Amino acid sequence: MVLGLVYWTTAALIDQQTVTAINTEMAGLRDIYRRGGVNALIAAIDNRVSGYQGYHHLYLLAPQEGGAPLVGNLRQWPGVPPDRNGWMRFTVEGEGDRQGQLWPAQARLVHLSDGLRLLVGRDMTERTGFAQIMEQSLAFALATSLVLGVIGGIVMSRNLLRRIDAVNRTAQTILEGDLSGRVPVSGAGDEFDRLAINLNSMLDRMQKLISAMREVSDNIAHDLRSPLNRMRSRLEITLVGKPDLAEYQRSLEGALEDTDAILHTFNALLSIARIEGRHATESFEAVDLAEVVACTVELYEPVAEERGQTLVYTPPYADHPPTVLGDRHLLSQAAANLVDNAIKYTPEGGHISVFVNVALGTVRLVVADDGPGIPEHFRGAVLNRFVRLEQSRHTAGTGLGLSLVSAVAELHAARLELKDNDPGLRVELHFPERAAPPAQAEAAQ
Amino acid sequence: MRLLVVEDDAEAAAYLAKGLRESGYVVDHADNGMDGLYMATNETYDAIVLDRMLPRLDGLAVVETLRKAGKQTPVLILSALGEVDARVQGLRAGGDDYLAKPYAFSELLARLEALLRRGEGPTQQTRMQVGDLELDLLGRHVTRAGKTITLQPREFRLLEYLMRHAGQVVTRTMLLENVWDYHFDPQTNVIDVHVSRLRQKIDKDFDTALIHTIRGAGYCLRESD
Repeated sequence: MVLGLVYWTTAALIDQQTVTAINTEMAGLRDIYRRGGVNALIAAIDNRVSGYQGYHHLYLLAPQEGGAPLVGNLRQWPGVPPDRNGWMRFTVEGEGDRQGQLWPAQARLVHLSDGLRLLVGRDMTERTGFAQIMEQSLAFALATSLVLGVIGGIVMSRNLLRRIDAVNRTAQTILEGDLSGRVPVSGAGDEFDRLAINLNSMLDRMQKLISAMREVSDNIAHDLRSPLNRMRSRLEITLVGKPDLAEYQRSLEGALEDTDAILHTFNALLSIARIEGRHATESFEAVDLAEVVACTVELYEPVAEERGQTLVYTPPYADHPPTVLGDRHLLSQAAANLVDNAIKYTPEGGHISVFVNVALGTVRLVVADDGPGIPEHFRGAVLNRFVRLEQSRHTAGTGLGLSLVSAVAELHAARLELKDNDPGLRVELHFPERAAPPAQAEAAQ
Repeated sequence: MRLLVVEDDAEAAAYLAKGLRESGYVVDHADNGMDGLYMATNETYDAIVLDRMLPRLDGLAVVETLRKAGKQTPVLILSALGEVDARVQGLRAGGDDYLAKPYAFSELLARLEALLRRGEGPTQQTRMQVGDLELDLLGRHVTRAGKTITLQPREFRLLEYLMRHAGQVVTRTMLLENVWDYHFDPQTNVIDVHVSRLRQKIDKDFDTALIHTIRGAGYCLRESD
């Protein structure tokens, strides 16, 4: 393209120069003719032909109709007809050191007043040479770029194919059952990397969901096998013995209790799995956490009192409501589980304090007790789902309370921290604060 | 009392019908949504127990169509989907109550009773009375045998709910849902503690107890055993 343009403009320039040079020369000669007549013209042409200019310039002065040339370095009148302005292009047979060569020329024909015609021209070898050079380089450039393009294309497409192949291989790995496969990220930060990163985060999410599902089924199997087994033996023993009606009744009531316990665990596991599989922001609303927690504390207050514990709730400053974006039911369930745990694991006469505060865009819910707490080396593990479940399974309850809190925290982009209350356990939930929402203004109206 | 049970699981439906008949109801059964809708529109029932996932016509569609046809029969929706969202959907479609599977039969029975009794009596009561226990909704005032009983706001709401359903079995879950708006089961039996507190104030200083514990089901506020 560029070469073509250079060729075209340069050729045009040379042509322009040629025309100008011929016109200038023509004007000079006509001037001489006007002043000195034919003889002066002949002398001038003769002079030029024999001089340096004769090499590049062509001159021919001849009578109008077919007469022999009077003077000039062209042997004969060119066989091509001139155009309207007297311009003509033709080839000249070389003389002297250019013997035998045919070279291109351009010339202009002017009719003089004495029935003479004057031709002034220029050797166009240079221009043609230039054109040839240009054509050659153009061809060369074309060829080179073609070759480079093909090679580049091959390299590019091989690179492209290689990277697509990497994606394919990862997909294949996953299809074969290894969910840990990930698309390699080259680090170039290009579209492919973005694709890889997106695919990988998609895979992460899927793997998480699948492993959550797997965990749930493992847990169901583990958690439900023992009560089912208990129920089975209870029923079996009743049948094997020689029971009276009261015995039957007791057995059935026991079986019913077992079933309820199983269902309770089952529901707890299911709801944790559902929370973990849920999309955040789905049915989320602005929730006043203080209100939720106050309600929970109110619900549990008599329970604590019955166990001789003190349950104290400290609300945040009234002028700054701790608003979080979330699901009210899940938040109150999480709060309930934390308070429930605190009451359950704190001995009689213990103190449980609950407070909600807002600071630096974080809404904090703290439930602290002075019970036995959780040993530090278990604290990290307790947040890890599997270990936590295994650990708490041997204590009272379904042991899924904290799992649910953890799932709710994750859904709400909240941080769950277990700390030493010295003595006791201090559970903190750090929610991102929802900045003064328009929904509140609407509610106020 | 005549009930319609729309449930596609034959065994579950049989148990349900048996239990309800033993509790004194007349029960019809449909095993798909289309038949259920047809029966509900053309017959007169006192209440409908409707499974949410049904062949031919979804449970929610049945309720919606029924309501559009102007039928106001109380509907209790049963569903394997226990999420709060699913519950809200069910109620929005026109259901009157929602019970997640698996449920205790006593729970279903108690809720059905509550639905059936809802139509009775004025809803805009300002005073309620059970035996010598009186509750004044406007004055937020409770007396028993003329003696004033001081209640906390939540205790007042608990008693109000029990009195509205006097003579009926009220389950713990019903109390959690209606008095506390909690739609999950807390691990500790918090409701028992609240009821026993209320009992302390209502029954302790009097000869006859009004709040009765119904084993395996819940509570019942009534004059005598």
